[in-house]
Amino acid sequence: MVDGRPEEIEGYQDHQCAVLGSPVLEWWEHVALKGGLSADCIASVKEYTRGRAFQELNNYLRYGSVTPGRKSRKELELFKARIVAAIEKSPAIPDGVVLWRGIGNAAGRQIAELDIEDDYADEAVLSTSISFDTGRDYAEEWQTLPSDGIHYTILRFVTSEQQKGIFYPREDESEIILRPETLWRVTNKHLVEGQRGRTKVYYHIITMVSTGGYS
Amino acid sequence: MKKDGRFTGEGRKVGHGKITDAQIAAVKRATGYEPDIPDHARATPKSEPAVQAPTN
Repeated sequence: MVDGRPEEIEGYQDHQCAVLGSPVLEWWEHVALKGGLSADCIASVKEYTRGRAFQELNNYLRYGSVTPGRKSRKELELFKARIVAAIEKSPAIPDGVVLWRGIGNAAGRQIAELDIEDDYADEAVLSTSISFDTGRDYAEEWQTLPSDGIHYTILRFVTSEQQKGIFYPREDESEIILRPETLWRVTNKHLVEGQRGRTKVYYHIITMVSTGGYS
Repeated sequence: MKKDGRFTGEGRKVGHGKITDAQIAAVKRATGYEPDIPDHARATPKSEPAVQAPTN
């Protein structure tokens, strides 16, 4: 047990490395360096993955909110369109690659209640990581009652059906971004239980697979 | 969850559907084991008897 994390949860990453191998590192080179994208699209992906603009865009896509003094509605639509264009021109991710995403405390409980067969989508650009640890670090704790312990919801996306995405490595994160409204189907749910002091800690691992569609 | 069934952020349930053999294979490849999916959720139920040619 490390910092309240069940030991078995640490093992998720090992298998992922074996499955992914090196092809993922070639995606961005293939797309950006071989002329598949305009300079504007490349700039938008950089802006999304390296700055704070992702929050602005995703708040707009989820809630329709625009921050005064920042990008206008029209600029946000263009920002989204360029990112989507970049993703659409990217090569398909190999089948069976795992992408992790930790869910914040506002939605963790509802998403943990999804069932097998349910289809899931997010209106926002979907930021994921090939690193389990990164995905877990983004998960925020949620509680039902204090006596029920602390809960985290972590999505395990499994690629299939020619799923597209852009890999944009940076120093602190191996992020893969996917199109808004990408449709995933829940295949299984796994509850990993741990202990933090006297408090029970639960990790809800929700596995979803690509459907090849959009909501 | 909001009244219209949409989550308050970070995604929502948008429907449901059967899980195909290809999707199950992808999960198995990724995780190292076949997910425990009930027959009713499978596009091809596991317990479905194989079609056999007449034997007369």
